[in-house]
Order: sequence, then C-alpha cells, then structure tokens
Amino acid sequence: MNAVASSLRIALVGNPNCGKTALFNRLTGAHQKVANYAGVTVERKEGRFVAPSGRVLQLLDLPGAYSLDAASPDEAITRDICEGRHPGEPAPDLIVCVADATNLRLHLRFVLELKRLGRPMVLALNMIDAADKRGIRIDTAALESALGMPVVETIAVKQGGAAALVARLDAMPAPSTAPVGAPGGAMLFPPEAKSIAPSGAPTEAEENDLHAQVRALLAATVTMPRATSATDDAIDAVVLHPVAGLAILATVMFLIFQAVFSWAAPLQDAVSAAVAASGAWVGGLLASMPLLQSLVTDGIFAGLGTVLEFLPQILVLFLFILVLEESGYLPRAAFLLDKLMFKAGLTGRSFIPLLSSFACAIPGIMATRSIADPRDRLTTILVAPLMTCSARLPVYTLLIAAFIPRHDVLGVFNLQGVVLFTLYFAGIASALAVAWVIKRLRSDKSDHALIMELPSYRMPNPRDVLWGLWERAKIFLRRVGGILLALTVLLWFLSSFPAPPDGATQPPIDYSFAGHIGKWMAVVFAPIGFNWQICVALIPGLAAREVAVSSLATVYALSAADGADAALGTAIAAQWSLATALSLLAWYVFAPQCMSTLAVIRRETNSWRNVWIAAGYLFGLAYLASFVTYQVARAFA
Amino acid sequence: MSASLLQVFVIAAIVAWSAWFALHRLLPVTTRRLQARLLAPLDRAGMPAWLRTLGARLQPKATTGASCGDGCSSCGGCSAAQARPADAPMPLVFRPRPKAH
Repeated sequence: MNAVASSLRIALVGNPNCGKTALFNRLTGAHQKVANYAGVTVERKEGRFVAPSGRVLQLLDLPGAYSLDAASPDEAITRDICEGRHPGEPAPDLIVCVADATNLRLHLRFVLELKRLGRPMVLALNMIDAADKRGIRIDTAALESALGMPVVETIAVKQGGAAALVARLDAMPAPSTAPVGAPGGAMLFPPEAKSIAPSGAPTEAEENDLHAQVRALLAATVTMPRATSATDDAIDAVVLHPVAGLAILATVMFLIFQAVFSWAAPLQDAVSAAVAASGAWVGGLLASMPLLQSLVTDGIFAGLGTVLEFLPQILVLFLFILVLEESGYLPRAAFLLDKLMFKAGLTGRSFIPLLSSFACAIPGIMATRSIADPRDRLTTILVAPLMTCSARLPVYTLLIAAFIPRHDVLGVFNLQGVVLFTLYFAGIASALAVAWVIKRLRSDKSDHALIMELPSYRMPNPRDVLWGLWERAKIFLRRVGGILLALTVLLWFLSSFPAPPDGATQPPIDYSFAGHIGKWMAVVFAPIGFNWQICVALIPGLAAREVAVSSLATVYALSAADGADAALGTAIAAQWSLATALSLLAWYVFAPQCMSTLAVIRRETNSWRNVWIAAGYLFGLAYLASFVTYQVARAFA
Repeated sequence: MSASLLQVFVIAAIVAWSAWFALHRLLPVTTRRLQARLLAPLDRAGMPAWLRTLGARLQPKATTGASCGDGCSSCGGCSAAQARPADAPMPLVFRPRPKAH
C-alpha cells in the first residue's frame, strides 16, 4: 500500500478554544497562531504529517463551532466542510473531534451532533492533564463504548502529547472510494447514528435529545468534583468585579505602555549604535562611488536603520500581548467592556477582533468573521483601523522621544509612556465614538446578548511566548527587508533626481521630483502644520505606516548639509515646532495610511462603497484632528 | 568598465527591482497578469527549449495563504504552503430582521 493511496483527509473539529490548532501544530510541526480564547482560527488551515508507518495524513484545522447550525461565517466554513458542501473541498475521510476534557458538559453536545453526520470519527480528549489536576476522572473505555467511536487522550501543548492519537490514526483503514455517506460507503464504524437534515441544524426536539444524551454520558463516564475550577472562580471574583476589574484592566494597559519605553531603551540604543557603525563602515567602502554611497548611507542605512531601532519596543509590546493572550485574561476584559461597547454600538464579540487589530488591522478585520450579526460585523470592520497597530509604534515613539521630555509624572510614571498610553487610548475612544455614530445612523437596532466562553486561566508557556516573539521579529524584519527597503530606495531615487541646476543655492533635494511633489502637497497640508518633508513621507507611508519614518530619515539625510549627519530624532526636534509634531501624532491616530487594510475591507465586505466610507471618514477625522491639535498647540505655544 | 558606469548599472538594477517589488506588493493581481502576459511569448511552440523552460519558471506562482497579495506581511499566513487556493472571502449579507410583535 503506497503512501498516497492510503492517505487520509482528517478534519480537526470542535468547540472554540479546545486546542484544535495546538493539536494541528503538534501534529504537523506548523506554527499557526494559538491563544487562550475562542475565535483565534477563522479560516481553514491545511497541513500534512507522516505517521510512524510512513503513511501521509492530510490534516485540516477548522474554525471552532458550537453547533452545525452555524451562527457566524467562520462556523459556516466548518459546517460546510464537515457536510461535504464546501466548494472545491471533498468531505473529510475522518473527523477528529477535539473536546476540552475539563469542559465535557459543553463539548460533548457538539460531539453528538457531529456523530449524526454519520462520518467516521475519533474523539480526542484534549487538556487531559488539566482535567487530572482538577480531579476530573473520565472513564475513556466507557465513553468509547457509549459513543461508539475511538476515544484518545491528548495534551496538545506537550511533547508527545498526541502520540496516542497518531497511533490511532495510523491504524485507520484507507478510505473507500465509494462516496461518503452512501450505503456501504467509507464508514469506518457502524453507522448507528441517524442521518440529519442537509442544513445540519438539529431541530428543537433533537436539541433536547442531545442535551439529555450529554447528561446521561456524563453521569455514566465522568466524575467531576465541581463544575468549575476553584482557582478560576477565586481570580474571577476580583478580575470580573465591576469596579476592581476595570481598575486592574486600566493598570495593566498603563503598565504595558510604560514598559514599552523604559524596558526597550537600552536595546534600542544598542541597535541604533550598531546600525550607525555598519552604515559608516559600508559607506567608507563605497567612497569612490558617491551616488551609490548616498543610496546606501542616506537611503538604506538612514531610512531602514531608523525603523529597525523600533524593533525592541515592538517586541516589548508583543511580549505583554502574548502573555495576556495565553493567560486567558483577554475574554475577561471583553466581558468587562461589554456594557461600554454595547452603549457605543459594538458588542463584546467585537473585542477580540479589535484587540487583534493592535497587532495589525488585517487579521483583526478577518477575525470579525466570528461576529454573527452582519451589522455588528460591518461596524467592527469600519472601526478596526482606529486601533493602534504595531506599524504606528515607530512613528509614535520617534515623535514622542524627539518632543516629549523624559520627566517623571507623580514620581512614578514616565511622561513619554503617559503620552503613548494617551495615543492608544485616543484610538480606542475614537473607535467607540465612531461606532456610536454608526449606531445612531443605523435604522436597524440589534438585540444585545453576549454569550462568551471564559477559558480557564493558564500559566503562559515561556517557549510559546518566545516563539511568538520570534515570529513577530521575523514579520517585522521581513517588512523591513521587503516593502520598506523597496519604498526607501524609490524615495531615495525620487529625492536625488534630477540633479540641481547650475548655480543652485538650496540643498539638491529641493530640486528633485520628491521636493517638487512635497511642495505641491504642502499647500493642502499647511493648515495642519505639515512641512513639505512630512508631505513627501506621507505618500510611501500609504503602503506601510513605518515607511513614513524611513522616508523622513532619507529626506532629512539628503537635506542635511555635507558632514552634518544627525539622527532623525535630533533633526526633526531642531526643525519642527511642537505643534507640528503633535499634529502629526494626531494624524496617525486616524489616517488610514495602509492600503492593505483598505484592500481587506473591500474583500471582506465585497463592497467598494465600504472602502470609500472607511477611507473618507478616517482621512476626514485625521485632517480635522490634526487641524485642531495644530491650531490649539500654536495658540498655547 | 569605469566605476561611474558600474555604479549607474547597480543603482538602475536596485531601483528597477524596488519598483517591481513595490508594484508586486501593492498591485498583486495587476502585476501577476502583466508578468504572465510578458512571459507568454517565451512559452510558444517553436521557441528554444531553454527559453520555454525559463518562461515557465518565471511565470507567477499561485497564491497560498488567504492574506497573500494584501501586502501586509503581518499574519505570517503568506508563508504557509497550501496546495489549494485560500478560503473565499466572507462577504457581508444583510437581511431585514423580522419585525417584533
């Protein structure tokens, strides 16, 4: 039997946050994102692995679902694939239903619903170690017998934790060529289950029947000292308190932004020194070729080097985000903010997509697939770009470091950290305000009901956190070495050509393409305090926000008199007013300086109208906020 | 070749690569189509075998992850090798709510 002929297509299915993606990663060696909350996976992922016998097993990781009666777009993917109705996707040969062993009361209902499809199934009782710790005893053999399907215990986050599952899958017979579901088809187990309607949705009577079966199964096979974890309950008593909980949330967020400045500073200085030394060395090697030397030193090293300095700050921010994601705290934060978010026109379900947007608006917008109500989903998509993505961090920290002194506030806080916190808060507050306006404009009012699973608290695994940081560093470096490098080179070209005319009195860049473009744009942006150099940086900054920093660095390096080689922060601090710097910060809170985000809005909403609405209101708000900030700052200066 | 001529060639090559790369990231569908159209003549009958091989190799590859072509490079989805196109987008569909009685 060759590997291809005997290969199995296996779908990992289960309730959200039961460890499907962790199991997928364990089996295939992939590094798909995992976190301790529901709704991380919103797309199907495909991988393969070779079993000990040499057999190739194809694995599909599907979004979590509570039922085949899909309530949201991500659940619809899972339903369609399980039922063999997904376009271009054959039905899986085998369903591995992953269930959280600590929460079988909830998860077994879906197991029973899937069983009614009549497809071959294996039940993986995941997090069996956590169940053990809580004193939950599961009679696996009895459960296997009662369900009529193989049941294996797994610990997806532990090395070798999926060995029993692999052995079981390896022993599975090859799928038959007969169509699945047909009489005598590819059934690996006796088809004792009854078929269900094509929609997959159980009727009310079936639903009651399922719950009764779950209760019977639990009574016969599971011993549970208590329904919930005592530790979780004790922590939740404080963390979910209406007053103390909000205070804790605010403190956590505040400390994160303090740390971004104070922890990253030494590393940032080291990166800055390394980039400067490398630039000087490479520039020295190219002394005989002045034009190429300018490209390398003024363009690549000045531009990209300045952006690279912000890597430590981005990693510090993500260290906190990853720890919070792993700990299980984030759904609690969603719960705490639900009332406020509802008043503003959002729901608690919007919290996770909006939180994802702090890394990048694109996965955040895609994560809205877990929101069932299309109106709530559209509102969340439209406000997601207001969350402060990590690409804004280099712009913010550059301007804050250049213009805001490192004073202590109340003897404890760093003023720079306070300003950064304020900028993040401004993004959140404006998102809530915009959502409120959309709610007022909407004729159709939603009902409000947040049903969200609160996962057990978990100590973050240092290995996973380090891996997450490494992934973030790779993503950042790939951007620096890819799109940022390309745009910096192009900006250098536009800033260096054509050469100045004979008898020119201004720096050469003033006569370049970029100089001309910047000066035309400056007319429009003068009321908000932007000079032509900032205007030039805004154009490539549309492709990626950080490019604005590298572009400013290149423009100021080319504008500097010969030999005057100042760091970008020093150069702008000397040439800009505080009002201009604050105005640019206000611009970056709102402006949709990211074409990729607009492209994803188009794709996810299937509408150019929504793209124009998003771009229009964001640019409008950006201009208005910058105008007010600039004029007020000038008045008080 | 003089040093000044060499530097002009090197700079031209770097700028051309940068322009292509930026276009490819920002307008992925257009550049893919353009790339395929430009390379199509190489893969015609009657062309030397090595040119046909070269043309086939330079043809744009199928996209992989769902976010490929968005230009974000943020989620890492682009690097996950997949054998089939990504999921179709999930467009918003609005239906009027039933009136409350």
